[in-house]
Amino acid sequence: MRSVNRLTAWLIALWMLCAGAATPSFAKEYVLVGSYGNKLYLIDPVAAKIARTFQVPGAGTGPSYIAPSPDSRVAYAVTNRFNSVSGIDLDSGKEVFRADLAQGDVRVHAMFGLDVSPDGKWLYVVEQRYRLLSDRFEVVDPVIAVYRTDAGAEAKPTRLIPIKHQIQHLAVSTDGKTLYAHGLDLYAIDAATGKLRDTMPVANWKRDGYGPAEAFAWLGEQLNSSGVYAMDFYTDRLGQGSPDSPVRDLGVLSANLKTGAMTMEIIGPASEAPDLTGMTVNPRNPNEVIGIGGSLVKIDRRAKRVIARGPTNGLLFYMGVVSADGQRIYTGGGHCRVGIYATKDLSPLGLVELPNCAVMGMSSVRVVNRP
Amino acid sequence: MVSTEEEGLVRPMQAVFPLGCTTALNPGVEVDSTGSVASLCTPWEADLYGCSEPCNWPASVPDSMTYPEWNQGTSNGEADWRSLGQIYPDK
Repeated sequence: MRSVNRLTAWLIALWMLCAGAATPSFAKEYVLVGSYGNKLYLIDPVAAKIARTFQVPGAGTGPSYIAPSPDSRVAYAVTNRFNSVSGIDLDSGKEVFRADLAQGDVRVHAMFGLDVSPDGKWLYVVEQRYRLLSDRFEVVDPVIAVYRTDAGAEAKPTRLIPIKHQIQHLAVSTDGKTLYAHGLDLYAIDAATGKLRDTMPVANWKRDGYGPAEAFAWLGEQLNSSGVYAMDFYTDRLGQGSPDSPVRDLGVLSANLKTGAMTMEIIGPASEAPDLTGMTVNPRNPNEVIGIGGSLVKIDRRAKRVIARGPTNGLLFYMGVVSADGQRIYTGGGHCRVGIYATKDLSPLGLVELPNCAVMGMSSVRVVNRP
Repeated sequence: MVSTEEEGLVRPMQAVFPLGCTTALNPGVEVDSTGSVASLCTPWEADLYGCSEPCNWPASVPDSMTYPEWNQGTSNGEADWRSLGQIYPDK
């Protein structure tokens, strides 16, 4: 009996070692969202219930973009009306990181461009900057500010990477060496040197028969374990329809954060899903993307068609993310409800209403693994 | 502005400006960029909050960076929208 117990203990220890330090033992997937009232919530998607609530300190209505650390221990959230980034420890609930972004007389706002390096050491923040002069605003060139995640309560950037204007979203490659910045176009930037390595034209793309492409980059993609940044785009067919009623197509823009491949492909008529505001890739099937917005659709990228539709029941979700096992999609943003759907057929599995129906606004929907 | 030479037309650059949210600065009468309500947020109260925050396109609500008190203490959009503040020009 004693040797059996010893063997069991040894096997458990071996399993924990193999699981690695980055994943908490016996971890379970939760949905991480924010709402007005400066709250963060962990939602148990299986029970369709809120498991834990966190208060983000300081002023502001609600967190905007949220980026969890790779080990799921800290949630970094834009707060204080885009003026600060707060890191909330999801164990203790305490604020362990705070960057108030203003630098001297330069006012700084972060909105949706926020991501953490794969080793968890660096936080990258897209910062929009300006000076308020006595008679006018003076626009200061935007940057990606790089913070140490262990910088504590008064974090200051260790360096600033100059970027083009109108960049809204950011995704770090899986090896941590490249920053994908999405604005009018999609840029690949060397994380170490800050040099622009590659550009994929998006608004400036040249495709025979099409006008500029509009990618919905301002809300940002809710990155998950798929290792793919994906975003819907719409583009007008030239010479068809009229200026007031153009003939439009829907497409999928993606950046593979492992291989570096950046692509834009037309899926079909925009009428298939004319009101998408976000997209997310199934980690277990990268050919499968889910479009979220006034519609909820599943798209087969190879077949270039919508293969499933889900009921939104009159709700427009801003964004969504597919679970690590590829089985469920979680939708949120805008109002006060988090939707849970099966990726197989987009059938609804649950709807979680946040306390006091506090609106999520621009807040993110992310997945984390917690004990 | 982007010139679409093939059509001989010049029309506004649309990139980055989203579907959803109003493009008409006409309080109480929100319409989307096509003149309809099809791509507005639903429930519509979500527009009041979502469109006021980033303030990067014209919405029929004040931006919450310039007027931070506008929606203070009104977390429940569907119930609290009548309590939202009023913004008047400075005299």
